[in-house]
Amino acid sequence: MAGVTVVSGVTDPGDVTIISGISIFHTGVTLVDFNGGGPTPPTTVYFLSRTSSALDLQPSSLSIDSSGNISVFGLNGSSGLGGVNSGLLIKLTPSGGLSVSDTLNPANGNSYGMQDSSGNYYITYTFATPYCCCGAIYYDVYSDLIKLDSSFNRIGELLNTVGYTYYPFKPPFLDNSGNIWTQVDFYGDSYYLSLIKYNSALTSITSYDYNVSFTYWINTLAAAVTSTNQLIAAGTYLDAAGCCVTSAYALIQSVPTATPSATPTWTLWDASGSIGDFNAIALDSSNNIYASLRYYNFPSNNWLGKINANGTLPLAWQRTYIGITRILSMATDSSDNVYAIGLTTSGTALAIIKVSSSGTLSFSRTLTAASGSIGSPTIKVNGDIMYISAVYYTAAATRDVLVFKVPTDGTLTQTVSVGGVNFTYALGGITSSTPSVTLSSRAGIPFTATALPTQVVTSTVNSLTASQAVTVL
Amino acid sequence: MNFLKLSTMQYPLQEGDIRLDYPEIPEDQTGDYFTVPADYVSVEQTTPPNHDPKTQYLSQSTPVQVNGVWQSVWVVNDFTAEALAIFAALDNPPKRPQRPQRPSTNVDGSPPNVIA
Repeated sequence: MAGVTVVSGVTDPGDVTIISGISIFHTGVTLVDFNGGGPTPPTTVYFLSRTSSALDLQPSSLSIDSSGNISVFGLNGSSGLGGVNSGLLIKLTPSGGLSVSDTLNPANGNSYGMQDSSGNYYITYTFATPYCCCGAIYYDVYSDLIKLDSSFNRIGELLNTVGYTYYPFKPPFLDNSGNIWTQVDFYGDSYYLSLIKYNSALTSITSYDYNVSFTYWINTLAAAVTSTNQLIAAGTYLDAAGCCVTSAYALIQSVPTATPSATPTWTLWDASGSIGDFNAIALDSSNNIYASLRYYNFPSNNWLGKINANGTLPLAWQRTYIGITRILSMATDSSDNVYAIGLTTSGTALAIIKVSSSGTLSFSRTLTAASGSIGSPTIKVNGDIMYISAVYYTAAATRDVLVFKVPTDGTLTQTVSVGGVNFTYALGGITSSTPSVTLSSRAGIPFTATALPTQVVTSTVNSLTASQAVTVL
Repeated sequence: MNFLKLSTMQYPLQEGDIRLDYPEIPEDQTGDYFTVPADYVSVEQTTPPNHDPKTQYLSQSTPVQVNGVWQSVWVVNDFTAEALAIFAALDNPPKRPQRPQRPSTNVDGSPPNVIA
């Protein structure tokens, strides 16, 4: 098949490096790489990579380095807490060739990653250890943050030793002081979402949340840092009585990253408590905020609005999009266009829109598989290319990695065959309309800071390199 | 704004789609200032019909011309059972097992020995 390169990693037990109970080894992932094989020459503007192995790969996030290499993070394995999964890290060359595939082991779930401007990796994941209590087996679940350099040498690691249940659910991000932030599900005595801040030296962890006996609390579903080092936290403010949530207010606020528990600089919410919750945000070059709502009563269950950088109202604009049922990830380009990706109404395909900074829908596209489903997308934009990672699956435990690279000008529509499955990137059939959501300012709600006990992981530096990790057939 | 291409009745299209055919349209002509080429028309959005957003979704079929104005045509569709299951899993992730309270240190005061 023209333009197809088959690259295979190998599983070599002799290369397994045991480092204080955490091993880093090859996965044996096989990627089928389509690079420029489609009918849209001459530019190599897209590729699809999909495993053909029987592994259960669940990409969760991706990053693009300064050379255009693509790194995909996620999980391999579908075991529950009693089993052992692996954190997944696959590095692709700009043209889609497999560079490195590694796993971080053990990881019982929820592995996410990102890269800084120097190419260092920050990967957060959970792993569990069992214990017996009252005749039953329970698990302590720990969140871990590992820092690797661009060659995958481990240069730092910090473990949250609170044996409660912290599950990362979004990729880490950095503030302008080098601190690393993660977002976690907390399943201790009850359930809420917290922000976790690691200092740059990886010696301390502080959680930031707001929780008054589960009568009032905030779930932070999306967060980012502005160029002025403000933390933008978006999600839901919840009221509860007895067993149940009585009201849920979409809420977004801005607070200095240096003092996250101070009174927020500004806070906006939906005072009616009826429009859902903010679930994804992206910032433009002027720190304006594009925020999406997950909501059930608009014509298409989604809402996208532009919030001014200083939180002043009214909103710059707001839209809802017919044909998308959930916006799940967003990114911006250097011209402040916003790209949003979500699920189509079938729930099994991806919908992608490009919207100008003034709210004009530039184009919509869908990515559909002829058989099977695509889900869990993440989008990044670098230069004039958007990068999308997603899960492709036909069954729950045989999921594959899908990486898609496409120009931001909308010039490409194409069907390609990957592993015997046709994937079609085509006009999206999505329309926009203007809803009438009203946000209002409210008194800020300070987060509570809690220092968490930690364990610095100091061990032999792993020396796995790209040349060791891949065998090209 | 959504557009209809009259020669093919392709709908919906947006500014970016039209610019692929007409790259000479200046970038600053956008939104209300966008110059619509002759073989395209803008489509007026009509009021969406009532529907149950938990089980149904809206789509649009080919616009129709009413008194010289092209207008959107809404269609109410039922979500598939597969789609509803996917959305339910997204909105209500499975709750993980609760754990009884346990000291965050070992008996000797050291951190739990989760890394050997």
